[in-house]
Amino acid sequence: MDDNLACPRCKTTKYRNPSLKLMVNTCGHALCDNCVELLFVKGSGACPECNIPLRRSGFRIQLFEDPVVEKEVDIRRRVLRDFTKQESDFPNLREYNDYLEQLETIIFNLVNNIDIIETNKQIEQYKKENKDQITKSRARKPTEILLLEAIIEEENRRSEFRQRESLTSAKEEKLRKQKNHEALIDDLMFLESDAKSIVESHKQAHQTETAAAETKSATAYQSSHLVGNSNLTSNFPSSSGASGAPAPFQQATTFTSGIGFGGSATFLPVPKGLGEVPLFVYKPLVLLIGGPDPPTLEELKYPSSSSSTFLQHIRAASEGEIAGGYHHSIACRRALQDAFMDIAMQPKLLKNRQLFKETELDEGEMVLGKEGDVEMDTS
Amino acid sequence: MKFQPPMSKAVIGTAFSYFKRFFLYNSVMDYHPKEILVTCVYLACKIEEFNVTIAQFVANVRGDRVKAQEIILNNELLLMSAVKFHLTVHNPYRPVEGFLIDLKTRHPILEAENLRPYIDEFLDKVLMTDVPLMYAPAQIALASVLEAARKCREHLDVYVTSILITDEEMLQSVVDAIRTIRLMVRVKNYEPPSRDTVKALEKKLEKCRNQENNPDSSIYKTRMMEELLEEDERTQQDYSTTLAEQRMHFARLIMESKH
Repeated sequence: MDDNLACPRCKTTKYRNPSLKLMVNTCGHALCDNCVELLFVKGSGACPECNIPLRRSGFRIQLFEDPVVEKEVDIRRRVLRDFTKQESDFPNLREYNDYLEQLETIIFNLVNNIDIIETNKQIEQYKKENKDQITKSRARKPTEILLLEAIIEEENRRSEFRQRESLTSAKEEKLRKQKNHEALIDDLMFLESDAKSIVESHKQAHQTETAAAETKSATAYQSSHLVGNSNLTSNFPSSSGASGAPAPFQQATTFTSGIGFGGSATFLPVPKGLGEVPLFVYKPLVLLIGGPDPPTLEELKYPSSSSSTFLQHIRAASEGEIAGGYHHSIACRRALQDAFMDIAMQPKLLKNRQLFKETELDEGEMVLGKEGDVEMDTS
Repeated sequence: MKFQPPMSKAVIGTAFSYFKRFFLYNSVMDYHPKEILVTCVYLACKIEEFNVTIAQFVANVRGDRVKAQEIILNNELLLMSAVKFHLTVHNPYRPVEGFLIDLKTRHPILEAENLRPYIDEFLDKVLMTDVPLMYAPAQIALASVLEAARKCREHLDVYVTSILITDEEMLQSVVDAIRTIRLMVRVKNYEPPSRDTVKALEKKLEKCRNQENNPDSSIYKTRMMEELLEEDERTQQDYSTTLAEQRMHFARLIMESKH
């Protein structure tokens, strides 16, 4: 990405070292960090392209490729620090929109260098009018930061909980082991049976116990996890830990129209017992041939001494064809099937007409007339 | 028609089948048989995977090629629906091959290859009759083999009765079918009619055909124009009705909001 751009001053340095970052200042022109240092070594600085006097602090690391965008983002941030009115400060929607439009016009003018003097005057005027509000909002942290803080807090809480859990479970585990050990020793002392078998049975019991304990702890962790999740996205009572902390930041969960969003995914339970469906039973395909049975594929492919060699009379499959899965017995079977199928078919006559008899016909008479009523089922 | 590679017999058989089925349900006077004929062949080429582009196909036609192309393409869908979209036709050519294989294997006394030219001749004749509409392709194939054997002065009765078919009942129905087929084929007159009769018939057809389907006629053309105009008119009408509805809807909304 940066290979297309080059620092306007040292040009070549850009290609050499792609990790070289561009710094952008208020006028929108970019300079690599080396050039920035060089520029301010001499004390005062001016942009090499537009000769606007600059300060060292005015340089920011370029986030966007397009310098225009960078400039706009910069101006926007500056302006928004002063114009901080929220929707709740206006009596109705119309006025809020007017305020927003005014704001956007100011930013647009500043970015595109239109009426700069006029715009700056507007800003000053606004500042004077709303001085106290600006100071108040400067003290208050912006919304995004509040949200992030809330998330971080929640995470800390969860990790604390997990730690405590693991501690308690470790303690429990130790206790149990001790108990088992003691029980084993007791058994060995007092029971009459073989020492080995006692040890075996104890080991088995121990294993089942650990398995049960593991599943229990897993479910406990999951439930606490879910609880933590849902807590984040709704008004949670300060029951899980920080009692006495101020009501944490509430993230919006619904649109103003009432449609909800966010929240952990909850699934419906799997429907149980769809009713007894009869099991599938495989019935092999039955091919109805209205005629004599043609030889099967096996008979064709591997002729025994009794069944004859049909395959001789058909073009053999080449090696390539056999590799592809074709065998000439398939073609042979197809031809024979077609030859035998429906050979004993009788056309269905509509009324009880007989097909014409030989004796009734004269030479040359069209056959069509007599069979107008014959109905045909196939093809 | 000359095609490279030469057109397989299956295509011809399929085309014939379509033609016959089409004119079972439609009158010759409604649709000119010549138009339907070319369309049948074109469709059969497609179905039997004998790929011919419309341009190549029309290159074989004498006369106005563009018009022929239009005719074919317009009639194709009509033909398909008249055949009730049963586009796969089982021709007797594959069963014939099956019988020849069977003969060579189980009745090697007979020289099966000698039968081939007679079989081809018989099957060509069969195409001209109604037989493919009435009998299964296997039956037609068997009839052709038997007829060819008769011409070669061979006897295949032994083959049929003892080797091929062992069931008594089946034998009877097979024999009936074969006999009828051979009779039908034998009886039909195969001379193609002379040119004069053809011309006379064509003239007659011109006089009494249904002009609405004749793309050359004036009636057809006016009907097409009307349909086009109708469409425009119809869209206009729809537009005005929806417009009126919308206006009413808005008026109602305004009334409601006032209260």
